[in-house]
Amino acid sequence: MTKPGKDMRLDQQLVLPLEGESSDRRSFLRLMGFGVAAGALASCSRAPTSNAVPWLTAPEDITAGRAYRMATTCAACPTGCGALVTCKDGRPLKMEGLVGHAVSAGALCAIGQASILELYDSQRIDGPQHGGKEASWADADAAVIATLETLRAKGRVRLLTDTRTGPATLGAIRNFLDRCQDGRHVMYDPLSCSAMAAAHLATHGVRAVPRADLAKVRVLASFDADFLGTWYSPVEHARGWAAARREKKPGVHSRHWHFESAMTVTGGVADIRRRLAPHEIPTAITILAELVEGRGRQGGGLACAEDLALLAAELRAAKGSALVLCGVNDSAVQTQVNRINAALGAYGTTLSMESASRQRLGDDAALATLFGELDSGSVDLLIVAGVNPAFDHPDKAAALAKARMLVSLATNPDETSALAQWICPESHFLERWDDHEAVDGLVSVGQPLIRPLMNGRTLRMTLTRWSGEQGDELALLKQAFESGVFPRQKEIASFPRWWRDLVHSGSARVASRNKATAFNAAGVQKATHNAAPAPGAFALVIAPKLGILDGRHAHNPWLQELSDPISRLAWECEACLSPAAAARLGVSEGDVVRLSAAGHESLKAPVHIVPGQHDEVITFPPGYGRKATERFAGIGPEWWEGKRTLATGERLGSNAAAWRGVASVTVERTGEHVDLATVQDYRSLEVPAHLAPPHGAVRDHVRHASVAALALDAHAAHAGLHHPAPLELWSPDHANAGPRWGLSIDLSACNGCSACVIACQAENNVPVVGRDEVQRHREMAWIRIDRYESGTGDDVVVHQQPMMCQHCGHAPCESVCPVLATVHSADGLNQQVYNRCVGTRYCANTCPYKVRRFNWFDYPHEDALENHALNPDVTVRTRGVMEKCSLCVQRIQEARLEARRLGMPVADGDIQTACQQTCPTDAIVFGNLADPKSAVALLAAGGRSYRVLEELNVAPSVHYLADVRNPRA
Amino acid sequence: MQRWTSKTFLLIAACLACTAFVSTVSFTLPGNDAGHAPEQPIAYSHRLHAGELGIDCQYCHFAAERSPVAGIPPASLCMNCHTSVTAARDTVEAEKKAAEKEGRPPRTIISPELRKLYNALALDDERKPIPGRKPEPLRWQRVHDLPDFVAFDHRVHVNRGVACQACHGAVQTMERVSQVSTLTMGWCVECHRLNNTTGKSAVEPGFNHPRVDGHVTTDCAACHY
Repeated sequence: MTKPGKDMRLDQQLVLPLEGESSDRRSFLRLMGFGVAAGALASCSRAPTSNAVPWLTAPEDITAGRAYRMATTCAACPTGCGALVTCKDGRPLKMEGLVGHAVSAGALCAIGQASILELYDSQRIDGPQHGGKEASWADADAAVIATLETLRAKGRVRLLTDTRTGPATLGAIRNFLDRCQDGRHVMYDPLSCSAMAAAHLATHGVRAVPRADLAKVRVLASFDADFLGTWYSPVEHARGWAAARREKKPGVHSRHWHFESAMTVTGGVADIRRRLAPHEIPTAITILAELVEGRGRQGGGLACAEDLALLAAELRAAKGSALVLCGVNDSAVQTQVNRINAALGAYGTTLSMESASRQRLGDDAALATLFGELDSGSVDLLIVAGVNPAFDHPDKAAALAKARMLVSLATNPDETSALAQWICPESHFLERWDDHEAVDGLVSVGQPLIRPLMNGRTLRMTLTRWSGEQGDELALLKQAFESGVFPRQKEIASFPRWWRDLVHSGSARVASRNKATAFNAAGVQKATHNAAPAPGAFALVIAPKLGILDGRHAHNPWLQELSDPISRLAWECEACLSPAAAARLGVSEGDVVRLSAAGHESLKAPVHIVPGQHDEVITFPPGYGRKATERFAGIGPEWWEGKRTLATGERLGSNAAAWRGVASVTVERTGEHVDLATVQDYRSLEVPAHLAPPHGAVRDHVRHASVAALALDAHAAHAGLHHPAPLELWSPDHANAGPRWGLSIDLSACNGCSACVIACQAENNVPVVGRDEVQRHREMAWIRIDRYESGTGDDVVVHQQPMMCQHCGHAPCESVCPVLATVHSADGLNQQVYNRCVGTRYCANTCPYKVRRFNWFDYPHEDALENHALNPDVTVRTRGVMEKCSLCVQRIQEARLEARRLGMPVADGDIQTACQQTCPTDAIVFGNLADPKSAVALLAAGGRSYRVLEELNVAPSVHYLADVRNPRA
Repeated sequence: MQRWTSKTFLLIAACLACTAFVSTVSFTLPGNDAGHAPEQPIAYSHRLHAGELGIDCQYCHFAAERSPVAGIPPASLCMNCHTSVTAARDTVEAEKKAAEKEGRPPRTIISPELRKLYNALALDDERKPIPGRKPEPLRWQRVHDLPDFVAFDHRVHVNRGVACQACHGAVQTMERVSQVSTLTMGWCVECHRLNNTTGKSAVEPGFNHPRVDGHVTTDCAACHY
């Protein structure tokens, strides 16, 4: 043992046991005494002063400490939603939906909300790399241009990207490829809509995916199209869907039929949901097509034959406001869907070919051709941007390596960039000029909101340089818009004015280049009934998870810790089975199963049981097993019992990409078991038998009613509601002069898309805790979306219930806090004072809604760059304090203080909570309950309004509107 | 020997601990940094500018009326005056006289403190950019620094007629700014209670505790979130 000497440091002296002395009382006192003295002395000195570094020359429109907002376009996926970015002191902090944008109309999805974190990702590739070594852009350009020179006369140049819609970007691509003798641009989407486009080429002569206006739809039928969650434009679709649903009168209320094999957010909130195995869908669509055309064919051996007949009758009755959607990537099936929609008069009413969607332009056939060329080794230069083909098509990774030169434009290291000779990273969309045309005739731009943090470049600029052209990024973009886009409109004659308006408002309408063409029945192909899985085997459905999708944001910890709205699991790659299927296999929740099929290496995953899934189907999520998830090794606090989220070098889940198209798999138990990281243990609305009274009981915290029942009795959803005794905590003369803030949440509009959860995380500095802590139910989300279900089999009904602090008037947490760290404010908020909290956790124990979160640890904020994503208006909480939803009190304060400055009252709608702002269905409304004319008070006074656990007389300020569905009587 | 060392050590430690504890509790409350007057990168005199010359506080701290923070002026704002004012008047006059006497054009005199400002902006004596030199922002020391769990908003206080001096003291008399008020919560709440129409306060209105019109909140979440 080392002897403590005088040259040792103080902290070393304190931890080493002293030689010759056992650990007795005296040595303990000695160490303690010194420790206390040192601590007390240290506390006398002032905390270190910080610097204040003002600008040298201040930008004209930016006031220090004051937020400003800039319009841009979200490029986290090719959907092209408008975003309004809140910035402070030159730093983008929060993505909000851009009000008035034609696609997203003021909302954003969970992925859009999370994309701000990726801007401040310190692991982004910083500048070009050659063979793993850093290089300069000049070197990279020289190397690629030199290669191009040799290929000028003969040589195959291929550019492989995700969907790119910007007119200037596509112009730069054309310009680049035109210089090559054999150059071609191939787009593909890992979650493909290629068959839809191909089907429209066959039936309408235009290769396009039509734009659906769900707000006009009265009868909607969806076959495996998860249009509220993972389909091609979820925000736009959710808005329309909710608008159609808002009318709650029989005959006027919309009806949403859903046929699917897995359980999705869209299916869960449908009015009528039927289970259909994947191989049955072609038959079902064909039968429906015939029924809709009035050439009735019954049966087809389908369990849902009767429903199809009823659906066909409803669709026919609602011609002009009826629509059938199908998510199956099979062009023959899609032509049948076109046939139905043509018969229903959907084209021109609920579907638009004229302003078609360009959100998924990928072409699977072109990709297959490219892979053929790569296999034969005939591609000389392959440039990959925005996609990860080595991950999406792992069987083609070897072929990719056969390209003479492979250049990857990846922003983060991925499977494809690992094969590339050169990496020339793209920049983040918040630090570049960007252009989009997400829908034909709607152009939008993205503007840089911060000086680039990493040395990246846009695809547009990279290709322009490789075309041998110089010029400034903005000047070239404006030039392309002036010549190519500006002439497509006639309203504004001056380009500078048009451009200024475009940048200011984020988007502009121009003439569409598509023409509406008539339906041509000759293009309809016969949809073949696929073979059922072998007896005892399962049909495999690769079902994307909301938040993870194809895995392109798998490196984003917010999205990994987002609990899935269906499985309620975080940090998991789970295979889902129905209860009956699980019983058949003898597996229970968390048991690991092995999937095998001829010609494939087996795949292992833990089982999650989902009521309502088809009994012959096993689902597996795509986007897992990515190299990008290796960064999560060790995420979460380090403590003696803590387990790492992943081992070093391990990836989260497995890649199922190679299994796409495998119809039949054998599933077997492995005998292994993992404890899944779930955030909700109990999901049924029915009280379990051993707890229920003899006649059974239903939990009533989620109230629901049918449209028909509501028409008879406006308070139908209140049946059996316990009306609490009118006990009042406050004395009758208690002054309630000010506002009383509250929320109203519409359960029939909420579909569980989870945008609010991530919006709250970004707004309120909610930390990521890692898988092990989630397993211990220590996740920190201030708003969660509880999912409850009732019924079995085809009759499973899912209710999504956003749950956050209810800001109770008689808050139980307030009366138990020994240090008054949680107290009521004059305007009805349940305040949590972090600097007063000593962490007894009494409040969390007494909260009936279980919405309080305790900081068990100091969650890491070590990454200096990542910390720039923190909201400076909200305290970063430390270990040992309680926290919970504050109703975005920082926004309330900002609005109140600004109103005071201007000498005006706070108007209804001036304050929007983060969850409300981003909600695509406007399910959440915030306002002053004390003002009877405010939107929230009107909703709270309506017949559908109720409060959760009202019988406890805690007087919550959050009102829920009962979930109204429109099933058949 | 070993024994003796231990005992003395323990005794000294205990004494130190007691002294530290007593002095901390009785003389200063946690967070009370009144009297803090750090040295600044430029010996800027508030006495001269705000006192003698009578420049309004908000000419430089212009964000105070519309932002939570008062803001430290950008160097470009200093240059509004200091393009022409380059040194103390008597030095410039003296140089003028000397030049007149010697029959030569007067040299530009740059005061040593102002030269620091020009250096920050990478400007030469003629206020022209120095080629090849990068401007370097000034790193001022914060004097009034609230803990991170407190949100203070200048805009509402300034617009309600609370004089800057009510919290910052007579800055116009200070050569180097020091913190006058304690900036503890009790100090804030004293004034808020005085102006809270529902609360009762024993505090009399005065310069440090002005009476403003309207309801002032004492809710925790007004400052802590």
